[in-house]
Amino acid sequence: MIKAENVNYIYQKGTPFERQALFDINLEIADGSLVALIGHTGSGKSTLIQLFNALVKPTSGRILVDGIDVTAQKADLRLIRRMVGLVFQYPEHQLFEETVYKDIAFGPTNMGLSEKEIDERVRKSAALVGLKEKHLERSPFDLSGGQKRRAAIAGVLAMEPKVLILDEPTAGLDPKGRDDILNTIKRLHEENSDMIIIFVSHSMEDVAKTAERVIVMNEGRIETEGSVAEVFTQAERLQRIGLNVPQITLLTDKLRNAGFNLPEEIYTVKYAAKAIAALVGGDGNA
Amino acid sequence: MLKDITIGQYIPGSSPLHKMHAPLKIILTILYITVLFFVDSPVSYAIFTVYTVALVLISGVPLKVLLRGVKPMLWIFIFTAILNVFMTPGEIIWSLPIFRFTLKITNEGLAAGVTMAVRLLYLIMGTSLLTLTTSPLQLTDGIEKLLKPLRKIKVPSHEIAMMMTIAIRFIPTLAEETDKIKKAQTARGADFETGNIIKRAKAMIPLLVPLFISAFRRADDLATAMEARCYNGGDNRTRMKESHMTALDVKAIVISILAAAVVLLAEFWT
Repeated sequence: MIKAENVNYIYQKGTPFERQALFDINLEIADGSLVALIGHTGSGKSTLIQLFNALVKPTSGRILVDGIDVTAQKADLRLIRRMVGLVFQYPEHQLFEETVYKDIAFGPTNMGLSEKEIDERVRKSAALVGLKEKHLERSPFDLSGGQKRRAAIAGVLAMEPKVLILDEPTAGLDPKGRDDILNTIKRLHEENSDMIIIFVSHSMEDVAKTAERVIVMNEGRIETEGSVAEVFTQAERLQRIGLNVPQITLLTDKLRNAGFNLPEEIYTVKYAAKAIAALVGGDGNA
Repeated sequence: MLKDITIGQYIPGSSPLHKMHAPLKIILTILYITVLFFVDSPVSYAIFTVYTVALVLISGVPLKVLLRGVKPMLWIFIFTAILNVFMTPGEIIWSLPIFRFTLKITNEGLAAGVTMAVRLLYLIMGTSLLTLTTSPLQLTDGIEKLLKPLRKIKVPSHEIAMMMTIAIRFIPTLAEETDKIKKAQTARGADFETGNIIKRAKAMIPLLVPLFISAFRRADDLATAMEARCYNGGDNRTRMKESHMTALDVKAIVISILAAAVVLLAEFWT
């Protein structure tokens, strides 16, 4: 479980550039959750996720991961980084080894595991993200954009974290690459029943398709949180802070206002197709 | 850490020093440095100090910022001063025998040590004043103008200036990138802070390889973007904002030459 208590964060404190990025964040994320973190650029999302694995320390307040205070002065950073895996934006930019295999092995090697254990983990996490054996011996720079990203994610997965955080995992990918990543996230969630997965996203469609819970950030504060349905039924509130609901929800809202009897919590195309089909009498195979 | 890089740092302002014609400013800085190397006697040092202080005051650059540029050079200062103090032959005022050597301080050595340290200090302050009061764009523009006569002997002055502009422009970008990659590798358990020198050097590989790759990628993208906009070097290229000499620049020339003359007179006549 992740628990944040009264967390504040101030950038470059004591300089003329001082700026508060997070205000009094209180948060609880239960084991096994699949959470989407959404918010406008500069809303504090990236700062918040970096706090979770102690890359930056809060100005005040504390964060507990599985009861361990990651914000403590003498926190065991190695342990925390093993527990909380962080996949940055465009993670493929951090690939550096000669082969994909070696790159994925970088994390486990730093953890000081045995060679056998490392080998097992590399193959397991490569398979998890859908990389084939033949890819492992290639140079990471010869892979396609989507494959590179999956290799980079495998590099974090190989550390077998309890909490996996992904910062905009689908940014800059084509629709196929997007779906691959989102399906990987879903599969990870299904196969690891107590792993916490948090992903930052700008795409409400991705959030609706993948997440179970949504945390909305605005100007360094938590604006609202709840299940996907709870959050996306507050269209007006989201729009006020520069976010949106999925386009399909906007469409069905319009249809409903025009007199069609559609349910309120439609946020995926699939569900919309079913609902509309039920209304007009069809099989709903969109 | 990386945000402290002061190369190409420019403090915007509206002082006469800021408004000067950039190529002229570069020439006058070179004059300043040349004169500095002739200065040796206390009298001329005093005059030179007054001149330098006046320049700093006119520029309006906070002393704190100016001294920040000096800080990384501190070791060179100390090293030069110590070498001069102990290695200059002359009238011995203090000595200490160690094994077969004798550590001795001479009158001349002390003077040379102080002179060298002050000279280095002024050297850095003078050149920092140039970069602190001239925007990188103006600076490279000035260099291009100064190198223009060399085009006759096939020196690619425009290309050199363009390369410098791009290099300066990308310092903050690369610093940011370094920070990001460092964090990403730290999250994968990389350790940059502990261990001996060899271990630390090895730890830099996961940082440097991605950094180089991204630098090349950026260079490639930039080249493509420039070509897509039909950029083709210096020939017949005009500028939107041409900078010209003004009355201020004439004054600057007169004052600089006067100051140089006074210092040199003081040096050679006394």
